[in-house]
Amino acid sequence: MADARGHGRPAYTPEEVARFEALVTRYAGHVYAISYRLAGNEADAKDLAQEAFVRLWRSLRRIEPGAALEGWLYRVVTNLYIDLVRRRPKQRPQSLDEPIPTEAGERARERPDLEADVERTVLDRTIDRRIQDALMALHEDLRMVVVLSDIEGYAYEEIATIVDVPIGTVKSRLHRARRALRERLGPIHDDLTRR
Amino acid sequence: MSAHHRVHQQLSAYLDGELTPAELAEVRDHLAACPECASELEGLRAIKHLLRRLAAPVLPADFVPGLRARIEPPAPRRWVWWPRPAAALAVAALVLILIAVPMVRGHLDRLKAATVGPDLFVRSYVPAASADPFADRAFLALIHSDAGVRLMGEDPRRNRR
Repeated sequence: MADARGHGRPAYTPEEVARFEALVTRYAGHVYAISYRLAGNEADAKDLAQEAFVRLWRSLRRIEPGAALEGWLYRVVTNLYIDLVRRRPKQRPQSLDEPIPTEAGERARERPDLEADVERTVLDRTIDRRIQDALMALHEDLRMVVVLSDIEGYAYEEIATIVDVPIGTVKSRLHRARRALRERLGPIHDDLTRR
Repeated sequence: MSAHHRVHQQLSAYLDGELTPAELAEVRDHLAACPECASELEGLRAIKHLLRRLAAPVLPADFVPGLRARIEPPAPRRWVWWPRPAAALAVAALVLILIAVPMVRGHLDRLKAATVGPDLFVRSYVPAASADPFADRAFLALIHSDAGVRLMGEDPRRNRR
Protein backbone atom coordinates (compact mmCIF):
# COMPACT_ATOMS: atom_id res chain seq x y z
CA MET A 1 0.00 0.00 0.00
CA ALA A 2 2.70 2.42 0.93
CA ASP A 3 6.20 2.47 2.13
CA ALA A 4 7.24 3.91 5.44
CA ARG A 5 9.99 6.30 4.51
CA GLY A 6 10.82 9.08 6.86
CA HIS A 7 9.04 10.00 10.12
CA GLY A 8 11.86 8.34 12.06
CA ARG A 9 10.51 4.88 11.35
CA PRO A 10 12.35 2.12 9.58
CA ALA A 11 10.98 1.33 6.16
CA TYR A 12 8.55 -1.55 6.17
CA THR A 13 9.44 -4.54 4.10
CA PRO A 14 7.15 -5.51 1.23
CA GLU A 15 5.99 -8.45 3.35
CA GLU A 16 5.00 -6.12 6.19
CA VAL A 17 3.15 -3.82 3.82
CA ALA A 18 1.36 -6.82 2.33
CA ARG A 19 0.44 -7.96 5.86
CA PHE A 20 -1.02 -4.54 6.63
CA GLU A 21 -3.02 -4.57 3.39
CA ALA A 22 -4.40 -7.99 4.26
CA LEU A 23 -5.47 -6.72 7.70
CA VAL A 24 -7.22 -3.74 6.13
CA THR A 25 -9.03 -6.00 3.68
CA ARG A 26 -10.05 -8.33 6.47
CA TYR A 27 -11.16 -5.88 9.15
CA ALA A 28 -12.08 -2.62 7.42
CA GLY A 29 -15.75 -3.54 6.99
CA HIS A 30 -16.26 -4.52 10.64
CA VAL A 31 -14.28 -1.60 12.02
CA TYR A 32 -16.23 0.81 9.83
CA ALA A 33 -19.54 -0.79 10.85
CA ILE A 34 -18.81 -0.32 14.55
CA SER A 35 -17.57 3.21 13.92
CA TYR A 36 -20.75 4.02 12.01
CA ARG A 37 -23.04 2.64 14.71
CA LEU A 38 -21.13 4.57 17.37
CA ALA A 39 -20.80 7.87 15.52
CA GLY A 40 -24.06 7.82 13.58
CA ASN A 41 -22.73 9.41 10.40
CA GLU A 42 -20.45 8.46 7.54
CA ALA A 43 -17.89 11.26 7.92
CA ASP A 44 -17.09 10.56 11.57
CA ALA A 45 -17.27 6.81 11.05
CA LYS A 46 -14.76 6.98 8.22
CA ASP A 47 -12.45 9.21 10.22
CA LEU A 48 -12.59 6.93 13.28
CA ALA A 49 -12.03 3.75 11.30
CA GLN A 50 -9.20 5.20 9.23
CA GLU A 51 -7.49 6.54 12.35
CA ALA A 52 -7.72 3.08 13.93
CA PHE A 53 -5.85 1.65 10.93
CA VAL A 54 -3.32 4.48 11.05
CA ARG A 55 -2.59 3.41 14.66
CA LEU A 56 -2.29 -0.16 13.46
CA TRP A 57 0.15 0.95 10.75
CA ARG A 58 2.33 2.73 13.28
CA SER A 59 2.30 -0.28 15.61
CA LEU A 60 2.65 -2.94 12.96
CA ARG A 61 6.00 -4.28 14.17
CA ARG A 62 4.90 -4.40 17.79
CA ILE A 63 1.90 -6.57 16.98
CA GLU A 64 2.51 -10.28 16.75
CA PRO A 65 1.21 -11.90 13.58
CA GLY A 66 -1.07 -14.26 15.50
CA ALA A 67 -2.51 -11.60 17.83
CA ALA A 68 -6.27 -11.08 18.09
CA LEU A 69 -6.39 -7.85 16.19
CA GLU A 70 -10.13 -7.50 15.98
CA GLY A 71 -10.52 -6.70 19.67
CA TRP A 72 -7.50 -4.40 19.55
CA LEU A 73 -8.97 -2.44 16.64
CA TYR A 74 -12.38 -2.17 18.31
CA ARG A 75 -10.75 -0.96 21.50
CA VAL A 76 -8.92 1.70 19.53
CA VAL A 77 -12.16 2.75 17.82
CA THR A 78 -14.08 2.99 21.10
CA ASN A 79 -11.29 5.05 22.69
CA LEU A 80 -11.13 7.32 19.66
CA TYR A 81 -14.89 7.73 19.80
CA ILE A 82 -14.79 8.67 23.48
CA ASP A 83 -12.12 11.26 22.64
CA LEU A 84 -14.34 12.56 19.84
CA VAL A 85 -17.33 12.90 22.18
CA ARG A 86 -15.22 14.72 24.78
CA ARG A 87 -13.82 17.16 22.24
CA ARG A 88 -17.22 18.18 20.93
CA PRO A 89 -19.57 20.52 22.79
CA LYS A 90 -21.81 18.61 25.12
CA GLN A 91 -25.39 18.30 23.96
CA ARG A 92 -27.85 17.78 26.75
CA PRO A 93 -29.77 14.58 26.11
CA GLN A 94 -33.52 15.06 26.00
CA SER A 95 -35.83 12.64 27.65
CA LEU A 96 -38.71 11.38 25.56
CA ASP A 97 -41.07 12.23 28.37
CA GLU A 98 -39.61 15.63 29.17
CA PRO A 99 -42.29 18.36 28.75
CA ILE A 100 -41.56 21.30 26.45
CA PRO A 101 -41.75 24.68 28.22
CA THR A 102 -43.91 27.25 26.37
CA GLU A 103 -45.29 30.71 27.18
CA ALA A 104 -48.62 29.18 28.08
CA GLY A 105 -47.01 26.60 30.31
CA GLU A 106 -45.63 23.19 29.59
CA ARG A 107 -46.95 20.93 26.91
CA ALA A 108 -46.32 17.27 26.29
CA ARG A 109 -43.61 16.36 23.82
CA GLU A 110 -45.00 14.96 20.58
CA ARG A 111 -43.58 11.56 19.93
CA PRO A 112 -43.07 10.44 16.34
CA ASP A 113 -45.30 7.71 15.14
CA LEU A 114 -42.72 4.97 14.73
CA GLU A 115 -45.29 2.63 13.21
CA ALA A 116 -45.76 4.84 10.17
CA ASP A 117 -44.41 3.81 6.77
CA VAL A 118 -42.89 0.55 7.97
CA GLU A 119 -42.09 -1.79 5.13
CA ARG A 120 -43.26 -5.35 5.35
CA THR A 121 -40.22 -7.47 4.54
CA VAL A 122 -37.00 -5.56 4.85
CA LEU A 123 -35.36 -3.18 7.22
CA ASP A 124 -35.21 -0.34 4.77
CA ARG A 125 -33.29 2.87 5.12
CA THR A 126 -36.02 4.58 7.07
CA ILE A 127 -36.06 1.91 9.74
CA ASP A 128 -32.30 1.71 9.77
CA ARG A 129 -32.20 5.45 10.33
CA ARG A 130 -34.68 5.20 13.17
CA ILE A 131 -32.72 2.46 14.84
CA GLN A 132 -29.57 4.51 14.42
CA ASP A 133 -31.35 7.54 15.88
CA ALA A 134 -32.43 5.44 18.85
CA LEU A 135 -28.84 4.28 19.32
CA MET A 136 -27.62 7.88 19.16
CA ALA A 137 -30.16 8.86 21.85
CA LEU A 138 -28.37 6.50 24.25
CA HIS A 139 -25.47 7.64 26.36
CA GLU A 140 -22.25 6.65 24.60
CA ASP A 141 -21.35 4.17 27.36
CA LEU A 142 -24.59 2.30 26.76
CA ARG A 143 -24.30 2.60 23.00
CA MET A 144 -20.89 0.99 22.93
CA VAL A 145 -21.94 -2.14 24.79
CA VAL A 146 -25.16 -2.63 22.87
CA VAL A 147 -23.38 -2.21 19.52
CA LEU A 148 -20.67 -4.68 20.50
CA SER A 149 -23.19 -7.17 21.88
CA ASP A 150 -26.26 -7.04 19.68
CA ILE A 151 -24.79 -5.87 16.37
CA GLU A 152 -21.32 -7.40 16.51
CA GLY A 153 -22.22 -10.39 18.68
CA TYR A 154 -19.46 -10.17 21.29
CA ALA A 155 -19.64 -11.99 24.63
CA TYR A 156 -19.65 -9.97 27.86
CA GLU A 157 -16.06 -10.85 28.68
CA GLU A 158 -14.84 -9.66 25.29
CA ILE A 159 -16.84 -6.44 25.60
CA ALA A 160 -15.40 -5.89 29.07
CA THR A 161 -11.90 -6.16 27.58
CA ILE A 162 -12.65 -3.87 24.65
CA VAL A 163 -14.40 -1.17 26.67
CA ASP A 164 -12.16 -1.73 29.70
CA VAL A 165 -14.86 -2.05 32.35
CA PRO A 166 -15.82 -4.95 34.67
CA ILE A 167 -18.18 -7.63 33.35
CA GLY A 168 -20.82 -6.57 35.86
CA THR A 169 -20.79 -3.09 34.34
CA VAL A 170 -21.22 -4.55 30.86
CA LYS A 171 -24.17 -6.53 32.13
CA SER A 172 -25.95 -3.58 33.71
CA ARG A 173 -25.21 -1.20 30.86
CA LEU A 174 -26.50 -3.65 28.29
CA HIS A 175 -29.70 -4.17 30.23
CA ARG A 176 -30.28 -0.44 30.54
CA ALA A 177 -29.49 0.09 26.87
CA ARG A 178 -31.95 -2.57 25.72
CA ARG A 179 -34.70 -1.24 27.95
CA ALA A 180 -34.19 2.27 26.58
CA LEU A 181 -34.21 0.95 23.02
CA ARG A 182 -37.32 -1.07 23.69
CA GLU A 183 -39.04 2.08 24.84
CA ARG A 184 -38.24 3.75 21.59
CA LEU A 185 -38.20 0.95 19.05
CA GLY A 186 -40.83 -1.42 20.37
CA PRO A 187 -43.52 -0.26 17.92
CA ILE A 188 -41.26 -0.92 14.94
CA HIS A 189 -40.60 -4.48 15.98
CA ASP A 190 -44.24 -5.10 16.81
CA ASP A 191 -45.21 -3.89 13.36
CA LEU A 192 -42.58 -5.96 11.58
CA THR A 193 -43.53 -9.16 13.37
CA ARG A 194 -47.28 -8.60 13.03
CA ARG A 195 -47.26 -8.20 9.25
CA MET B 1 -33.41 -6.68 46.88
CA SER B 2 -36.45 -8.80 46.16
CA ALA B 3 -36.23 -11.88 43.94
CA HIS B 4 -38.43 -10.12 41.37
CA HIS B 5 -36.15 -7.11 41.16
CA ARG B 6 -33.02 -9.26 41.08
CA VAL B 7 -34.36 -11.43 38.26
CA HIS B 8 -35.58 -8.36 36.40
CA GLN B 9 -32.01 -7.05 36.34
CA GLN B 10 -30.74 -10.43 35.10
CA LEU B 11 -33.05 -10.77 32.12
CA SER B 12 -30.62 -9.41 29.52
CA ALA B 13 -27.84 -11.68 30.77
CA TYR B 14 -30.32 -14.59 30.71
CA LEU B 15 -31.11 -13.75 27.11
CA ASP B 16 -27.40 -13.74 26.26
CA GLY B 17 -26.58 -16.98 28.12
CA GLU B 18 -24.31 -15.11 30.51
CA LEU B 19 -25.69 -16.36 33.85
CA THR B 20 -24.14 -18.80 36.28
CA PRO B 21 -26.05 -22.08 36.76
CA ALA B 22 -27.44 -20.83 40.08
CA GLU B 23 -28.62 -17.54 38.58
CA LEU B 24 -30.09 -19.38 35.62
CA ALA B 25 -32.14 -21.65 37.83
CA GLU B 26 -33.50 -18.69 39.81
CA VAL B 27 -34.47 -16.77 36.68
CA ARG B 28 -36.21 -19.79 35.13
CA ASP B 29 -38.20 -20.45 38.28
CA HIS B 30 -39.21 -16.82 38.54
CA LEU B 31 -40.17 -16.50 34.86
CA ALA B 32 -42.55 -19.43 35.17
CA ALA B 33 -44.44 -17.57 37.87
CA CYS B 34 -44.10 -13.89 36.84
CA PRO B 35 -45.91 -12.69 33.70
CA GLU B 36 -44.40 -9.22 34.07
CA CYS B 37 -40.82 -10.52 33.84
CA ALA B 38 -41.80 -12.90 31.03
CA SER B 39 -43.19 -9.96 29.08
CA GLU B 40 -40.09 -7.88 29.79
CA LEU B 41 -37.92 -10.74 28.55
CA GLU B 42 -39.84 -10.88 25.26
CA GLY B 43 -39.42 -7.14 24.80
CA LEU B 44 -35.67 -7.37 25.32
CA ARG B 45 -35.47 -10.36 22.98
CA ALA B 46 -37.33 -8.35 20.33
CA ILE B 47 -34.81 -5.50 20.55
CA LYS B 48 -31.87 -7.87 20.35
CA HIS B 49 -33.46 -9.49 17.31
CA LEU B 50 -34.13 -6.10 15.68
CA LEU B 51 -30.53 -4.94 16.12
CA ARG B 52 -29.22 -8.24 14.76
CA ARG B 53 -31.21 -7.68 11.58
CA LEU B 54 -29.55 -4.38 10.88
CA ALA B 55 -27.65 -4.42 7.61
CA ALA B 56 -23.95 -3.65 7.92
CA PRO B 57 -23.17 -0.20 6.56
CA VAL B 58 -21.34 -0.31 3.25
CA LEU B 59 -17.69 0.63 3.40
CA PRO B 60 -17.32 3.90 1.44
CA ALA B 61 -15.47 3.53 -1.87
CA ASP B 62 -12.91 6.14 -0.85
CA PHE B 63 -12.10 4.48 2.48
CA VAL B 64 -8.93 2.68 1.38
CA PRO B 65 -7.61 5.54 -0.83
CA GLY B 66 -8.22 7.92 2.07
CA LEU B 67 -6.40 5.59 4.46
CA ARG B 68 -3.50 5.31 2.01
CA ALA B 69 -3.22 9.09 1.88
CA ARG B 70 -3.11 9.25 5.69
CA ILE B 71 -0.30 6.75 6.11
CA GLU B 72 1.88 7.65 3.13
CA PRO B 73 4.71 9.95 4.11
CA PRO B 74 4.97 13.29 2.30
CA ALA B 75 7.16 13.55 -0.80
CA PRO B 76 10.93 13.77 -0.10
CA ARG B 77 11.89 17.26 0.92
CA ARG B 78 13.90 19.23 -1.58
CA TRP B 79 14.55 21.97 0.98
CA VAL B 80 16.55 20.20 3.62
CA TRP B 81 17.18 23.18 5.86
CA TRP B 82 14.18 25.18 4.82
CA PRO B 83 11.17 22.90 4.54
CA ARG B 84 9.05 25.80 3.40
CA PRO B 85 10.27 27.54 0.25
CA ALA B 86 8.42 30.76 1.12
CA ALA B 87 10.31 31.02 4.41
CA ALA B 88 13.63 30.38 2.64
CA LEU B 89 12.83 33.08 0.11
CA ALA B 90 11.97 35.56 2.84
CA VAL B 91 15.22 34.89 4.69
CA ALA B 92 17.24 35.21 1.49
CA ALA B 93 15.57 38.54 0.72
CA LEU B 94 16.31 39.80 4.24
CA VAL B 95 19.99 38.86 3.98
CA LEU B 96 20.21 40.58 0.61
CA ILE B 97 18.68 43.74 2.04
CA LEU B 98 20.99 43.72 5.06
CA ILE B 99 24.03 43.48 2.78
CA ALA B 100 22.86 45.79 0.02
CA VAL B 101 21.60 48.72 2.10
CA PRO B 102 24.94 49.49 3.83
CA MET B 103 26.76 49.12 0.51
CA VAL B 104 24.48 51.54 -1.28
CA ARG B 105 24.45 53.95 1.62
CA GLY B 106 28.26 53.85 1.84
CA HIS B 107 28.54 54.58 -1.85
CA LEU B 108 26.10 57.47 -1.59
CA ASP B 109 27.99 58.87 1.39
CA ARG B 110 31.24 58.74 -0.53
CA LEU B 111 29.67 60.52 -3.48
CA LYS B 112 28.24 63.13 -1.17
CA ALA B 113 31.58 63.55 0.61
CA ALA B 114 33.31 64.05 -2.71
CA THR B 115 30.82 66.77 -3.61
CA VAL B 116 31.22 68.71 -0.37
CA GLY B 117 34.90 67.80 -0.02
CA PRO B 118 36.37 71.29 -0.53
CA ASP B 119 34.04 72.85 1.99
CA LEU B 120 34.83 70.18 4.57
CA PHE B 121 38.51 70.58 3.91
CA VAL B 122 38.40 74.30 4.43
CA ARG B 123 36.34 73.97 7.62
CA SER B 124 38.39 71.12 9.05
CA TYR B 125 41.98 71.58 8.03
CA VAL B 126 42.51 75.25 7.31
CA PRO B 127 41.80 76.27 10.96
CA ALA B 128 44.13 73.47 12.07
CA ALA B 129 46.81 74.63 9.72
CA SER B 130 46.49 78.21 10.88
CA ALA B 131 46.69 77.13 14.49
CA ASP B 132 49.70 74.96 13.83
CA PRO B 133 51.30 76.22 10.59
CA PHE B 134 54.38 73.99 10.89
CA ALA B 135 52.40 70.75 10.95
CA ASP B 136 51.91 68.93 7.71
CA ARG B 137 48.52 67.40 8.54
CA ALA B 138 46.46 69.77 6.48
CA PHE B 139 48.70 69.57 3.48
CA LEU B 140 48.96 65.81 3.61
CA ALA B 141 45.16 65.56 3.87
CA LEU B 142 44.83 67.90 0.95
CA ILE B 143 47.07 66.00 -1.41
CA HIS B 144 45.59 62.59 -0.41
CA SER B 145 41.96 63.50 -0.86
CA ASP B 146 39.57 64.26 -3.65
CA ALA B 147 39.13 67.65 -2.04
CA GLY B 148 42.60 68.57 -3.10
CA VAL B 149 41.81 67.86 -6.70
CA ARG B 150 38.55 69.77 -6.42
CA LEU B 151 40.41 72.72 -4.94
CA MET B 152 42.58 72.68 -7.99
CA GLY B 153 39.41 72.99 -10.13
CA GLU B 154 39.07 69.45 -11.40
CA ASP B 155 36.22 67.02 -10.73
CA PRO B 156 37.81 63.72 -9.56
CA ARG B 157 34.96 61.69 -11.07
CA ARG B 158 35.22 63.17 -14.51
CA ASN B 159 37.97 60.82 -15.67
CA ARG B 160 36.04 57.75 -14.55
CA ARG B 161 33.20 58.44 -16.91
